[in-house]
Amino acid sequence: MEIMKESHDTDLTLKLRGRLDTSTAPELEGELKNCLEGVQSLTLDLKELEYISSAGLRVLLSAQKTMNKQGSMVVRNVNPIVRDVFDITGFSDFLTIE
Amino acid sequence: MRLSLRKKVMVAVLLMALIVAGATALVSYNMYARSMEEHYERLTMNTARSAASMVDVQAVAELKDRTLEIYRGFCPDENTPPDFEAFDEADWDAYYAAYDEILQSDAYRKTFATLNALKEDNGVLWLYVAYMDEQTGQGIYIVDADSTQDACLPGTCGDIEPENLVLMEQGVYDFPPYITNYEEFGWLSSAAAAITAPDGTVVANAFVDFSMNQVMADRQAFLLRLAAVLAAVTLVLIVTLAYGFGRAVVRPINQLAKATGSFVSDKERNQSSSAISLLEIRTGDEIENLSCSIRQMEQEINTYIANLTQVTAERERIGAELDVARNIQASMLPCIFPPFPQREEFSIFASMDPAKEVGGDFYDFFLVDDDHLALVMADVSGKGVPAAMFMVIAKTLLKNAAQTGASPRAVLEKVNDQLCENNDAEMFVTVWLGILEISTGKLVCANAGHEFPAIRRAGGEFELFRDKHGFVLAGMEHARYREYELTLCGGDTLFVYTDGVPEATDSQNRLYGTDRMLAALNRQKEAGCQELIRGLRADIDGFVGDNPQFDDITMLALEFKNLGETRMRKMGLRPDLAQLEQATAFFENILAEHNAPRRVVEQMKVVTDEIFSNIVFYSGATAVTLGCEAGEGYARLRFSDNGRPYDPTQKPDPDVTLPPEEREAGGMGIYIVRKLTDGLSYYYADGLNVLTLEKRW
Repeated sequence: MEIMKESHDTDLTLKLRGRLDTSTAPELEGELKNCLEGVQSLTLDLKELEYISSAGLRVLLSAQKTMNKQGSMVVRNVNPIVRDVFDITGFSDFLTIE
Repeated sequence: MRLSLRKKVMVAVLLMALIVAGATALVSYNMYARSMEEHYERLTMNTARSAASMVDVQAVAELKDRTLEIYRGFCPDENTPPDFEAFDEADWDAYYAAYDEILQSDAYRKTFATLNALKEDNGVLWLYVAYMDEQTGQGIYIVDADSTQDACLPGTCGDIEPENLVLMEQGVYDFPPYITNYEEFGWLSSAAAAITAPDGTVVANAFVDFSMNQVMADRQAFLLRLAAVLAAVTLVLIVTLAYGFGRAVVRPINQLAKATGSFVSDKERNQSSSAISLLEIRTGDEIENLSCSIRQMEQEINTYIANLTQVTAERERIGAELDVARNIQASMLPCIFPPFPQREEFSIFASMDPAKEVGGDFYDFFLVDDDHLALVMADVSGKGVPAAMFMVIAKTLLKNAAQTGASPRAVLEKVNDQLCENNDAEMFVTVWLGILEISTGKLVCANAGHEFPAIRRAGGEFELFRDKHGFVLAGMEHARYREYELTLCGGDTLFVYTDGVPEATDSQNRLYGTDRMLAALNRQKEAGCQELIRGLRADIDGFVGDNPQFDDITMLALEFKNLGETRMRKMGLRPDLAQLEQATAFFENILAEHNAPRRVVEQMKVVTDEIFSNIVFYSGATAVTLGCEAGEGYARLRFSDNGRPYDPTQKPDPDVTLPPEEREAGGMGIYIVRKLTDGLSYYYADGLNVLTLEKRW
């Protein structure tokens, strides 16, 4: 998986490419741990994400919890496969999906 | 007829007493009779001599001359006696009347008185003087010293006894005594002495007859008395002997008999002191020796029984242990059929009948992983407990080695080295090992000195597959083994066995052989594994008859089922996240081949990720096998791992309505899987978790 980072002051956009699964989730988790400091607006662009598994959901949940404290988080460009997963797991209910 | 010892002794004594008494009586009676006879003969002779010397010879000579003169007057001639036969009453009267003058003579009276006195004094029966007339052969009475009516008058004649005639011819006129028994006179002892004139001429003979009737009666009485005494002695002897024998022999023997008779019952009643040990026999003879011997024998028997009891107990214990050992051995071999009820790809059946309680043969089969079935057929050298113990080691090592996923060749080489390490008993084991890839039918085999396997291709006959043998296991360190590959197709059957099958022997010492084996297999080639083996076993039993089985008979049959196109494709992986991509690719390819929509493919990738990662993180498995079967509008995905049993279908659904703050980090994976698929089933068998997913589109 590739993670592309775009940062403007307190805004952070992460573009994810490939699959967010068990083997790649720790990568994103590490990335978020390092750079969420002081971020008030987090945008996750999933345009090029092929699919997401529960390991990825765990990272998203963790990020959502963090951002609920310090700002907001937006998930963008969700493909139908990822959308299915969000719907199934109820993530659609609390994620801000654009 | 049974006679007691006492009776036998009494009968013997009685017989002996009878014989002794009989002999004694005979001898005594003879001696008594003899001495009495001698006494009477001497008495008779002496009396006759006395009579001869006491009479007045002159008077006797005168009487004799006169008598003879009258006698001659009656004789027809000088050499013939008067014809007395022709005498009638008158003749007799005339004859005796002729001698009347002699009766009146003084010489007669004088001689009669002398003789009569002698007769009365000595108790003589008859005493008379007679002349032995040689010329006419007649003895002629002269004086009979009898005063009764029966007295013989002078002139009375009688034939001279022939013996006396002989004596007279020899010039002997003393007739020795002899004993006669006439009905008329009874027992008589008779003798005669010559009355001799001073000039030496024999004037006449004095005859004496003693009656021996009294003596003879005495003799009978003597015999009776003797018999009575002997009978009394015998009776006393028998009573004494019976009593003494009873005390000295019979009673101790009866005591011995009673004591020895109660030996076993004493033992059963567990009495501390047996009747034999309480025996007090002090006869000081052989019976006491016998008693001592029996007592000693009892002690030795007791010791022997104790030893025997111990040995028997030991033997029973060993027997019981062997029984347990047999159960352990039997339970070591997979013996529940069908062993893999969930597996439709193959069926398997095997049996092992040891010749002794425990055997050295074994078979084994087990899933190495979801796609690999290991088959083992082996025969340890020898039989019984040593072979069984070696078998346990060999079986365990083979299974351990095969379960690492090693190839048959590698398994045999490794196990060979392990077995060689401490093989002091110099045992060895022949092994045929095959590992079947269930999804493809590829069978990789190696043979360590074992019998050829038999294979039947679908629709064909059973034939031996003459594979290349390696050396037996545990025979030589670092031995190398070759492996070969067969491909089983649907409907093929594999049959492996130990040498107990071809080497089964009938009563004529003929071997069953592989030809009979193949023929028996082919007679029921379509019957299925279990019937195949049962049928072969029955055929072997029929061939062998009553001959005892002397080698273990072990067989295994595997039928590779014909599943057509529906056979699952499989892939083995290590449970490692690095393999995750291969796993998803495996399914993606198959799904793509069957034109699954893009979305379905991606969803199945998510599912694969969830399940594979669960196995990697939580199962502790060392091998994962993926299976996939796809068709028109459906796919079946299978995950199998050898980790801890875990049934994901039992996991409760998480609450997906919770806000993020209340959510746990995990717990979504299985839920996602359930939602993205159309069916989820799980079973745990043969050490494998098997999870199957259905997906339709």
